[in-house]
Amino acid sequence: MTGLTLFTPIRRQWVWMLAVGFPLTRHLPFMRRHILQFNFIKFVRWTIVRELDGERLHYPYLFFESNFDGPWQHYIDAFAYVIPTDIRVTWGRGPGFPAPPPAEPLKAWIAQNSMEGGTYYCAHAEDSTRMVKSALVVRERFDELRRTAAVLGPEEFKAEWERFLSENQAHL
Amino acid sequence: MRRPTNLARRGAGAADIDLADIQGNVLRGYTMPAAAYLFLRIVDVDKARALMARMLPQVATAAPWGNGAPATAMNVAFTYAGLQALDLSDEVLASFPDVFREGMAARAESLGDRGPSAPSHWEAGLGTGDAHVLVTVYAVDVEHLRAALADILGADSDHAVELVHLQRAESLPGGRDHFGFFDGIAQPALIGSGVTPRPGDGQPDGKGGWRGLATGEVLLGYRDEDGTLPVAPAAPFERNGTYVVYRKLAMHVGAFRSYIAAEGERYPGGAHELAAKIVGRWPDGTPLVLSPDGPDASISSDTERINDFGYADDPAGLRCPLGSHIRRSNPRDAEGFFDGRLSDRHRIVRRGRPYGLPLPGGTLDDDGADRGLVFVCFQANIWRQFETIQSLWIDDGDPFGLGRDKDFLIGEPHGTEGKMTIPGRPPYFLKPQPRFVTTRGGEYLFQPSMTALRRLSGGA
Amino acid sequence: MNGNRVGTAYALTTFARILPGKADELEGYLGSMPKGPESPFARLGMLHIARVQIFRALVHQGPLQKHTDTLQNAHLVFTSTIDGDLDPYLNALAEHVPEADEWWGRCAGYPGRTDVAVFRAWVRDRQVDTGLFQSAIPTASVGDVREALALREDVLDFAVAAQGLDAATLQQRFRSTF
Repeated sequence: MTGLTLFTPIRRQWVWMLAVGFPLTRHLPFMRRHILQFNFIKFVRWTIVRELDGERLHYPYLFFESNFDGPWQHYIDAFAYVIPTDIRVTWGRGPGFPAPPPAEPLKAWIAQNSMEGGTYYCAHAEDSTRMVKSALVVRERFDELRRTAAVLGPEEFKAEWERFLSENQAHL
Repeated sequence: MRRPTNLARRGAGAADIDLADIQGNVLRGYTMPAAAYLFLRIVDVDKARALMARMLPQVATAAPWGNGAPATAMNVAFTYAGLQALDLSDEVLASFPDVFREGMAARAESLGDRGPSAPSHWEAGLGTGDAHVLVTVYAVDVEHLRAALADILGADSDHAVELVHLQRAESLPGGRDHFGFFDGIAQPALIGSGVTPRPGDGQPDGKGGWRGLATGEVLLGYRDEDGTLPVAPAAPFERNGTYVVYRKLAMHVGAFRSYIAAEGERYPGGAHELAAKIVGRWPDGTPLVLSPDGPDASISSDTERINDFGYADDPAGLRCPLGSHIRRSNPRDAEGFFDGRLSDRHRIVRRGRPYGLPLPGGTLDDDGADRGLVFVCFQANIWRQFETIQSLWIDDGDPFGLGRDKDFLIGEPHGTEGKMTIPGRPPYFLKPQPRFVTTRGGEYLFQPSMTALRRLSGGA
Repeated sequence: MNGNRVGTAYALTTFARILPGKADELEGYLGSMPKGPESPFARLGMLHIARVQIFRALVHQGPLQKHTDTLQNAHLVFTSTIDGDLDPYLNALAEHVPEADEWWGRCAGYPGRTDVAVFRAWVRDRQVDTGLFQSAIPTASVGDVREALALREDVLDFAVAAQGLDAATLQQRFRSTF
């Protein structure tokens, strides 16, 4: 699993848009799917940080933390080539943001702004998002199968077993 | 030896790129059937430069062959160790990418070169830093090859270089590989290359058709798929050059044949179909996705059809398994790649050749002879292109929803039981994964433009 | 209404000011913390992901950024993705992760873990509400994930072994395996 953390300035006059846009996205299912159409992202969050203890900040900041599978450069390709508008709307309200496409200047920006070091723990770090999702699907459907095994005769069970395999082969 | 009829024919299209400055083997698959790969170590820099200057006229460029194809051709590339040996400035050396500088042997873990494929088992001369220069010689037949090799080695009367590794290669009848499959069909059509592309060679255009691949995905100094110039090393290497991946892959033909024969008795579709499911094409090249039930000569003999397919209509892999070899190595418009938008930055130009004598037909036992594939590919960025395919798509299966399953045909099975799911109603599982291929050695190289070669050999 | 929760998952995001002169040793400590099952965080069954990072400078975005923000202090960002509610997690941290004193102990105002209510209040005070949080597995706990992964392996092993078996044997083996 890869983790990516960014902490970048937002233009003051635009922060209201994110402050409104985030809750909107939370509550509109189709917008939520926009981010999660990529099945290699496990958890992701955006937080507006307006102040830090002991600091006087001119800008509000956008804290971004994403946890996903594969190298971060491929992750950014997905953003840049598939949902560039979303990216421009979210981060483009910051000074100097290189709007995608193209992807390479965006990668350079991310490399520059990425928070390094520290420590990282994931309870299922070795298992990809797709694998975890598949396993959860299998577990749910397998329970039904187990129940039928108790009551069906051998030929019917074999048919059920094969149907289970056929319907879940994408998850096995 | 007749040219296989379904390889791209060089067309008369105008090329917008500087053909005379680009080494020929990047844009053109020479059909000269005999080849030799000479890895040389530079012993004396000044003598090596003089040798290069003498040999320069023989380096084949991509300019059209006015008088028909020559009897022999030669191309030259350098490892990072070789560039260092040539006394380039620290600044120029530092402008080369990390992955290239590390070299293939250092990347073994992420490439899957483990167990018997690990660099500690590689053949002498590969992966040790001794290989500085790769001279590839192509010839119309073995006699011409021998003569060309004698010329090259004879030209080095000064002992400027030392031969550290030599590999001969010869095409097999019908353009097949040692497993019996017609190979080399899919090659990206580079914009401006002058090669007439066939449907399927390039990238999906999002409208059901195909478009050429941006030149800069392979050649430095031209715009790439991102619309910008690829990151390139400092002058004189910034233009018309490319990076080369060389891998010697031993193929265990007996093991493959016996596995197919034995498992083919259990697999409901039979042995021939089993082999095709693992590869993604029938042995004659017919794509499974177009013809899942059997080979189709009307497709395989038609250059316009043999590569004209995508996976958008086969999302579950019921025709061409999600984990089949060709689907992994070039996902095209498969689900998760968004009409090719997430595959178009990971294309490579392959120019490898089989090596070694074929195992006689009919026998299931390996005879101990060394045979396989010299895998060679070109790209503008080794990490993004070759390594993405090898590390993420061959040595893993997660991008395709296949968890940790590796490519069943060429993946390295050491350290894992391995498996392949053949989608179907019901699906069929192949487990464990046998060893069909072992890496015997490899190098990362840079193939300069003619201009850069002249500069390296001391010219202007 | 904040965006901390999605399904049964909760995203905690906190920022704490690092005391002067402590950033280097804190960076060193974090870098040396064990990972994976040896991590102190592995003791917490409700925890999916924890990240602890330091930032000391803000990256200037170039000529289009008119104003410059310069940090006077280094800051610690501590985030967690958990199952369930925040208080049980904070209680568990206080009880099972004494290592928390290492990173928060170098931050301003940290009260320690002895009074759990005070500890919880201090962490909540560092919290910034998440604007948007998304999870690929919003209703699955860590336990659900682990069980499901193990079951999937067992089902696959069985599926391979069961290939070609006649119906009666298949059913018998299935019943005895599961």
